[in-house]
Amino acid sequence: MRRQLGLYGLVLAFGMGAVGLVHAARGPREAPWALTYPLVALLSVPAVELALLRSGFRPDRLLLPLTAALLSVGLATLYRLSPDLAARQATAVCAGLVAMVASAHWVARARAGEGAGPLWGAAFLVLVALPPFLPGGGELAPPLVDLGVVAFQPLGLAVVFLVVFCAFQLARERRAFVGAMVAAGVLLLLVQRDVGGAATVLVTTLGVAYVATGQAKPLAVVAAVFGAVVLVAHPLLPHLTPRVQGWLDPWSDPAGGGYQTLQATFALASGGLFGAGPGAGHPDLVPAAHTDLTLVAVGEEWGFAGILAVLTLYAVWTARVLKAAISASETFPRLVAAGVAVAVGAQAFVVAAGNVRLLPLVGLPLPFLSYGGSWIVGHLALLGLALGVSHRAGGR
Amino acid sequence: MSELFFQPLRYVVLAALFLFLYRVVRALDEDLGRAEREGAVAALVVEEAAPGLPPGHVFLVRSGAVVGRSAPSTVVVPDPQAEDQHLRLVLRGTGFWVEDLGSKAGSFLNGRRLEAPAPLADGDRIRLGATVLRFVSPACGETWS
Repeated sequence: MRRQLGLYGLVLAFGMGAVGLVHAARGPREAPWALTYPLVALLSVPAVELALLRSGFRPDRLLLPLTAALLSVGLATLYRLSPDLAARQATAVCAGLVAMVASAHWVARARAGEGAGPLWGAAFLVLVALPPFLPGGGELAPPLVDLGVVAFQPLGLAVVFLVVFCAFQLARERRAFVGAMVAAGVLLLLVQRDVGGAATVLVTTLGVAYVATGQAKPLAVVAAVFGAVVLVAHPLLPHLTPRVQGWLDPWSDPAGGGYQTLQATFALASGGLFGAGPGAGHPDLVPAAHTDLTLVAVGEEWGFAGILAVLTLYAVWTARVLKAAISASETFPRLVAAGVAVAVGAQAFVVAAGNVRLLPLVGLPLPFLSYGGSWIVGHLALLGLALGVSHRAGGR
Repeated sequence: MSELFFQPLRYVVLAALFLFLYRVVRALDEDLGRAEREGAVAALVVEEAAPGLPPGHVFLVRSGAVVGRSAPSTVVVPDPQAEDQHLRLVLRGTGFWVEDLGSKAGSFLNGRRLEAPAPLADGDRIRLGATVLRFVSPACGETWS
């Protein structure tokens, strides 16, 4: 426990240090109570771990501190962009921690043979199919549902159900059923013009299927078919063209399609090795810095050093979840952990690559860093699944 | 004034993040070390023994292996002078140690009676009763896993 507290102390030192420096740099514009939101969120992570340990839970001892570190980078970056965003994100973190504890306890007891397996798939499909029937921004991909009281991206929560569903059914070797449900989900997302979301669903499923079957060839064929479908359907997805164009050749339309890419590139370049310093850069000039381009905002003010730290955190996070998968003795928890590792690890990799212009932007958030309550809750619920699996495997 | 104060401070804050990463990597390293140690195997080669145990026979042992005359012992030697559980091999730090379990006849390391646990080196000879076992350390030759 002493080591855990040391790790959390360092997370708190970085997170609150960064938020405090931003606060000081912004001058007297902000009320000091805005600082309490990130503080409460960062303190609740060790509090929840302590409560879990007290109740006899023995999860992996690094996963929660690693997640807290990612959350601290995210909260500090959001506070830099707007203290209001950080406050809302902090609230989502607290809600997500509740979801995390619930999913950890659930998966610690769940058995593959019992329970309402297909219902998880149904929940996934309903969440994916929901947005066109509800009020919200139809232009966004992934679509946002705005119910007035609360706005959310259903995909962030759908991924949790997808992982559990795939693990449940593939542990019982119902491959065709999983294939049909996921194909339906991917098609529904493509109809909503959400290529990034469709790719996330597909990659997550393929990851779980690979761990379940050990066969790479049929899965590679599925991925190739998806790629071909997107290429062929490309004219039907008109919002994709400026995105790809802006990625390949931003200077062809510097004020339009290429604007976001160019601003992101300049921001990263001005960051250099150690960044402009908290509050000293201009990440607010990058469009969608709080959702799509969070890593660019980190890179501008914390430099290459900050990006290196974030990427290392993701790498170790994914490795620890895979470790839980490897040490699981039964198929169902093993597949759950593998699904969590692929869902979060692949999304982090693809979005980070989009931020530094290695890939086109997919419009998805960076796990645990970007603004977005449904994704924070969804990803923390996925973390809970991984914690539950590591507990089953003996923890530590 | 505030610049002078805040500029160094941001490096301190960044250092906290990297110190966190360093601690995490240290913890990962400890995990690897533990897995390696738990998997470490040494060998005991029979040099001299009572009939029933041919010289040259090899026992593979892990940390905690007990040498004695009967069942709960992991290495069973048919020696009337040996106790049921005579001596024990334990991994401490990076190497194996040998420890007498309070036998009447005693255990001998390279001809000298064991009074306290002693570290083992490759090729050391352990004697209990009339049985002599040669210790082969995992550090020499191939890596054991």
